[in-house]
Amino acid sequence: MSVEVSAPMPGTISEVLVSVGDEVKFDDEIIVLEAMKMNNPICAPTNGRIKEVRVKEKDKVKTGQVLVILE
Amino acid sequence: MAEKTDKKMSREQKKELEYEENRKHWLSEEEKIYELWEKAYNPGGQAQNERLVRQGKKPPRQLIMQLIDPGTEFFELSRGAGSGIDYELVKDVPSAGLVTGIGKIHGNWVMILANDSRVTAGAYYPISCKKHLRAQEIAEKCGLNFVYIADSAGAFLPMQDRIFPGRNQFGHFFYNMCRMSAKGLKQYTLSTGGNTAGGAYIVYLACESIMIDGMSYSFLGGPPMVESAIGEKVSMEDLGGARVHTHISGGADHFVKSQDEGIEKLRELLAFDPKQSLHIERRKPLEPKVPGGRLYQVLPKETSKGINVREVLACIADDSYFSEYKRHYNIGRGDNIVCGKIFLKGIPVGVIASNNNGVIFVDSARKAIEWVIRCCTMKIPILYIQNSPGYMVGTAEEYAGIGKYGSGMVRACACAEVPRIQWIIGPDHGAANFGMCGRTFDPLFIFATMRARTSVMSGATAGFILTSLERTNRKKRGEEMDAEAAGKFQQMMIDKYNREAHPFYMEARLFNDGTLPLKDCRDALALAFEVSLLKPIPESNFGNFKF
Repeated sequence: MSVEVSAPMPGTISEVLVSVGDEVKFDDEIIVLEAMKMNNPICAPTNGRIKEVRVKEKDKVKTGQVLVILE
Repeated sequence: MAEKTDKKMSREQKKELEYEENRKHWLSEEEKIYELWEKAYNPGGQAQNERLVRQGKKPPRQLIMQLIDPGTEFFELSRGAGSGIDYELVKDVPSAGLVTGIGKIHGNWVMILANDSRVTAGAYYPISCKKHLRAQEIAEKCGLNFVYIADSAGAFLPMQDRIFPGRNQFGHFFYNMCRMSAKGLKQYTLSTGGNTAGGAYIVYLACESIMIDGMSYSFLGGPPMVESAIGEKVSMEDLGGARVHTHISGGADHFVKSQDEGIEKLRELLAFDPKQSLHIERRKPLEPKVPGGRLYQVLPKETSKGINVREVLACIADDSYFSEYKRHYNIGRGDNIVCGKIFLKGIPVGVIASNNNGVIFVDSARKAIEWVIRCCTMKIPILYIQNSPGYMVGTAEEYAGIGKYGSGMVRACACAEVPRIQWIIGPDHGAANFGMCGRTFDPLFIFATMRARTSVMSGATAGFILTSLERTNRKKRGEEMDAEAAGKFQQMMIDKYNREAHPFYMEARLFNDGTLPLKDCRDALALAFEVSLLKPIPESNFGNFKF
């Protein structure tokens, strides 16, 4: 089953900390999203493997936009 | 496979490196706290200390250490009060000219206040009044007896208009003494110097007061005023010395020969009180499992960087154990506030803690409201861990009711009758300051850390907003603001906000109760909760929530 990780708020991607194939654990930091003048860590909602990374650094994203897919 | 291992290593190494940088940063930042304390401990340097010796007096903190139970610590509040306060006539009032804090006497917690006559002869500035009243407020709320070690020239006369006439000023000390003693909270005064005019009431209003032969004086008008008013020539000793008040007027109750004897007498007076007890079941305290000093590593050196507050909780909680409420609720939005329970040196405490970047969404606000209500029905105190730059903005959140749920958090916080304590470990801005129990919401204590930044908005936001306002205003006047001017103005605003948001700026003005080294925070919070649980916890009534 794949799990989508989406942007909790609109902002700019400041760091992508994973790439396709990486194993991640629940609560690992995977993306840093800059919004509200803060760097917001976005963490893995579950254990899994990175199936797809849909953003790169400096991308502007909207709320709900899928950033990463885990499987 | 090999490549993946390398990458994993590098992520871990990166974290190691970051941890080490954070640790170095906070340790070096905290050097400033010790410098601030040193200024409080030794105002006026050697010259003032020698003057005390000539008068046969000890510095106030030394008297306090003699007063409290041997081998116990004095929990001092607001050592940075008055530091850099920048009045027209005086730039700096170290420790606001008085020492306040909590100590144990015969096993019972007591609030202690001592004037420091090395700071302008113990005269009261506006900030000294605020500090004196703050100590009384804590004592009254927590039900603590109060000891005054009084040695003050009275109001600092050049600033009398900011010390004398207002509600939260000099006279309110005496109002509080009357009201607290009426509630059964003992008020004991040891006079170790002058107590003139209004200041004399600190002696007369005490339940019992002690005066020292040849050292304490108390009169409504001193010898010069007496001479000018009625032509009578009299010495200080004969007008209002210790002998006069303990042998003739009866205004004071105990006559002693030295400060040491006075301190012994204070201990004697407090020896008859019943033992205090905690109105909560305290378990056996356990040390956190994580290594000591971990708090220095997990808090990012940049205040704009998100945190993992569960790691912070592991550093302060007994056994690093955290029982979390709604752990899986809307992760990414719902967990920007983390709620749950910990034991703090055996005391069960409810936690409302900012997480990630701390921006509060509808989901996090709703969860926080639910948790405050649950803490109140469980009758456990609440620790607010503040690291929030504000509530989320934009149409999506507005339509979802962020204003409504933000106000719900504020109402829950305001009406919760359980003891509430705020601990600031990061940004503390805007309405999040209200919802997370800032000064205006009357927590029993607020402790800051070097990472705390308290202001209406962050420096970065203020710089941006104020610059666009300035540009619009200038445009109305027909002036253009070029990029260089805008940049300069923006930097000016950022600097102003950053300076004013600093924990020392807050502490100097009594907007927090002290900036603490991270390593002392667990002990301080546990002590503060213990003191706040000496009175039974009342029922809470929340009024009209919106859902």
